[in-house]
Amino acid sequence: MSDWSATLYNSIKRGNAPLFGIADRIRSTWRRSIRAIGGYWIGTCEYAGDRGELQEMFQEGMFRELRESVGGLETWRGFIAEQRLTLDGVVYIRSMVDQANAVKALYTRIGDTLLSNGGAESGAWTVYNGATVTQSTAWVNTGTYSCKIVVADTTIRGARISGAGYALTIVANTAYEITGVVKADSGSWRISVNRADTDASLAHDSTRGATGERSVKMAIPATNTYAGTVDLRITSEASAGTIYGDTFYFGIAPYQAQTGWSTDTNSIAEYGRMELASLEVGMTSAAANAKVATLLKKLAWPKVVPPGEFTLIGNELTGDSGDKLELTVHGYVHTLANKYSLTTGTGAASAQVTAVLGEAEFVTAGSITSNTLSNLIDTRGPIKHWQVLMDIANAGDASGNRWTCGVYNGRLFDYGQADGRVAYHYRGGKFYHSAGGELEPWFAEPGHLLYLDDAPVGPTQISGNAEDDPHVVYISEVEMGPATDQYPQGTLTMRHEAQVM
Amino acid sequence: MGCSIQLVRLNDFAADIDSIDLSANGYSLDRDGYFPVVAPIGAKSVHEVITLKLQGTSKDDLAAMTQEIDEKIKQVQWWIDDPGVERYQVWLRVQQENESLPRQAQLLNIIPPDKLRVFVPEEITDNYIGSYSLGIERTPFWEDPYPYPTTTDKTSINSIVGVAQLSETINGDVPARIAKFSVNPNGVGDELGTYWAGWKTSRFGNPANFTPAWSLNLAGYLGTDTSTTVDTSAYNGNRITCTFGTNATLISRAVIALSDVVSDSSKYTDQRGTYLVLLRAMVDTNTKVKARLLYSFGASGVPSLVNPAYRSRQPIEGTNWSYYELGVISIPAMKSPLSYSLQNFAIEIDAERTSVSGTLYMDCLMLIPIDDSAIKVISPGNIAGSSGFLVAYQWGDNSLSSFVGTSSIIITAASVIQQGTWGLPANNEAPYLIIASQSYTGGNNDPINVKSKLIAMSYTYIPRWRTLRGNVT
Repeated sequence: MSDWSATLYNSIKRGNAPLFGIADRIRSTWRRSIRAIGGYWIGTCEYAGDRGELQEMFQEGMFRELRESVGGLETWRGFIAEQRLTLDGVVYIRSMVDQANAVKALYTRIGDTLLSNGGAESGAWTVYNGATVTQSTAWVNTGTYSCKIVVADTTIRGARISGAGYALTIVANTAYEITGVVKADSGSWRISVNRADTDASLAHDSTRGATGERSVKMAIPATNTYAGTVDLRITSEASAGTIYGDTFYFGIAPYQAQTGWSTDTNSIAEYGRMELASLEVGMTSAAANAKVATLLKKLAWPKVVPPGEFTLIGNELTGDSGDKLELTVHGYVHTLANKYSLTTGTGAASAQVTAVLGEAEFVTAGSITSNTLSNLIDTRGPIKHWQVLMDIANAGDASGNRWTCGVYNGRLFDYGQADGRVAYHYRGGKFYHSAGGELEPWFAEPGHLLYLDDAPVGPTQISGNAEDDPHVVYISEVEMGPATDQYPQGTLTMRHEAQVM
Repeated sequence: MGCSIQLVRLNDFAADIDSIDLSANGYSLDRDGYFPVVAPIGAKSVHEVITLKLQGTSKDDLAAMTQEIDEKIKQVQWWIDDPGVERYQVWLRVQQENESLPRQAQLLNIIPPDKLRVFVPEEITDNYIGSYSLGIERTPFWEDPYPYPTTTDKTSINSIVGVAQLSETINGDVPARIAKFSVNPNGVGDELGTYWAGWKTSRFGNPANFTPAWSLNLAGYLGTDTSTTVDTSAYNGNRITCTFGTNATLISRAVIALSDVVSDSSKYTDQRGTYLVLLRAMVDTNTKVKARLLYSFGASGVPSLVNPAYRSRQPIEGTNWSYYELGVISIPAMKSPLSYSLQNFAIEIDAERTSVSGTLYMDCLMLIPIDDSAIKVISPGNIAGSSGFLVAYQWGDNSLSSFVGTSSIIITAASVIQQGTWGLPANNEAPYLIIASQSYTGGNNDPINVKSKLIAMSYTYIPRWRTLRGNVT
């Protein structure tokens, strides 16, 4: 690796100026990968230095940039996304992987019940037209009591769950949901919501003569124009019988809501905007906003995560000799998972790629090949830039060709059709380039075809697709490893897509 | 003579650049200082330790001796750092006491000693290092040092069924390294683009009785829409023609048994071996055909084989005679007692047409032996006349490189090598080269094999031994 170099740069947000060369510090452990879908992907190394240097990097090094180059040509670039510092045998971690400095919540708003005694806990429901209505412990769904209703004849009688008269007030053009549980021992029973002015039912259900337990679920649609008071009652359907009722709810139907973005501007100034749209369950607006604030405080900064437990450490692990700092470096493609796409709907694939890249903070469009394939960006839920771009690349084109995409030199995003070219040969355990020489590991790129020279010479393929030739493998990922005695330029691994998760 | 152990810096085809004799001039082996490893089967390298004693005339002389060895260590690292660019390698050359001839193996790595006994009082006084251990990794087999055995070029080899017996008896007890294998058009008017080459020896039978070309007009069975036609451009003047007139699906078009092509029953057993099968075929313009090979046992004349081994379909779309690789077969198709005749070993050719119209023309099957190594070399363009050479080099570490060169020894283009193992079978006999070649034509570099085209071959080989050499040349 005599002409191989690695240089540390300040983070983009801090000006991106070069700091110092780090080749000697990481050469013996540096490993990095490049993917056909993704570009510069992940690098790892152990950063050598004295305790002070390790601590300085740990404290200040998050988001610093690492550039690898050979003979002046940039061959890899990424930012420090995670650090593991071992001091005196104790491991500390800082990570940007789950960081978020712009948070909002998507949640469900559920209204409170309008019923004051939906479970008959404070007393039996109000009698309706002379039925026998009592609290009961014979059958209980929630709490201590249910309400037992007995009708001895064919007159329509029952109980008002909502209390005397038409005690509940509803508004127009608002959806309501009514739920409950009943157990009919005999007879047929109607559960209904009725307007005070005409006693017409706005919603109803029936046991239809069936006995046993039954869940009740009714709805008043949002198209309802009646505003005023209503009741909720259970009545016999012109037959004698006995029924128990419990756990009734009457409230505004659940609806989707989103909080606004809560941001940590200082964190955004350091690391760029990193969005999280948290999917929550049913809660009030106040609770949702509180959750957002809590998440933001928790996730806005790459805090130091101490070990999960502390234990006795022997002398052999204490002292400078055991100290080390392990870096995980992410390619800038990972910043495309920072924000949600504002580009939505249907469009030509390449046009959507360009539009999405226009929203990215750290990546700009490089070589974007035209692809007229019609693509839909699903708007039913928030979707990150990288998910959109990955889906577009994986879809290929109308002819079934492979397409590749990724962030490469200069943080430029390239999108284009895979060239289908046999760029490399694998023979006798070594890789060779097209000119016949051994392939330098730092120049290996994914997205090309590899020919297995040692495979038995024989039939190719009948499909017209070079990849169907059993001698040919499509390379989805290449990984360069540290220099060894046997491979002083570094090791090289090429992976087919089946092995790339 | 006493034993000899040297570290020699050299390149193939040239005299030594420099060397250190570790058995003289103050160097000597410690007691049990060197146990040569006998390479296990399949080994790509072996690891050994050499322990020396260094006797200097002074402290400074002792330092100079260690520096000599350090220089060789550095030279090995140069090669490790960039074997494509480095000119020379370092070899270990040894010779037993009274062994007639030396042998050498390339050093793939050399590990210096981790410490030296330089402050031992007795040894300080005597300018002596009592134990200097080098760890080495070397190629597994021993080779004949330069100059290499002379060889005779082979000329006028037919491109359609090339058979040439080497003039040299290849000695050694493991396959020899083919340091240089050069194939070129035989003369003006000849052309070359791709060749397949393999070796036939007495390992399976008498190689002189081997029939590498199976003309399909001799097939005991010709299938639907298939008949024999006179064609002077075909190998034996006849081809078979499949019109797909009544059935264009994938069905048997020809079944050719061993007895169809080998008339002397005493020579059936000489056909044993493993082969890459090439089909010489062509189609009409805009015709798309797919053909496949099946093999098994079946008497001459059977319309299709029972329980055959299948090979994948191969597209045939060229309008010139050219070779199509149908896959690898073995004769016999299964373990067979020697007492049983192989006459009914048979190959079936199935074909289908996927275009609307057109005819398939088939000439012969060419069998390239691969048991004792084989190679396919592809030039990026046509080599015309006798001034271009398609060369494959095999280096000391067995790696291969290939290129197109000129008679003025100028490299003009890189070429492609396929088929992983290459070496010259060393059975103390003169092997037969079995070779097929074709060239390119037209702006699209379409492959073409012309019956009358000839090729020539020259080669340099280096005998190898697993253990000792003795006086074998």
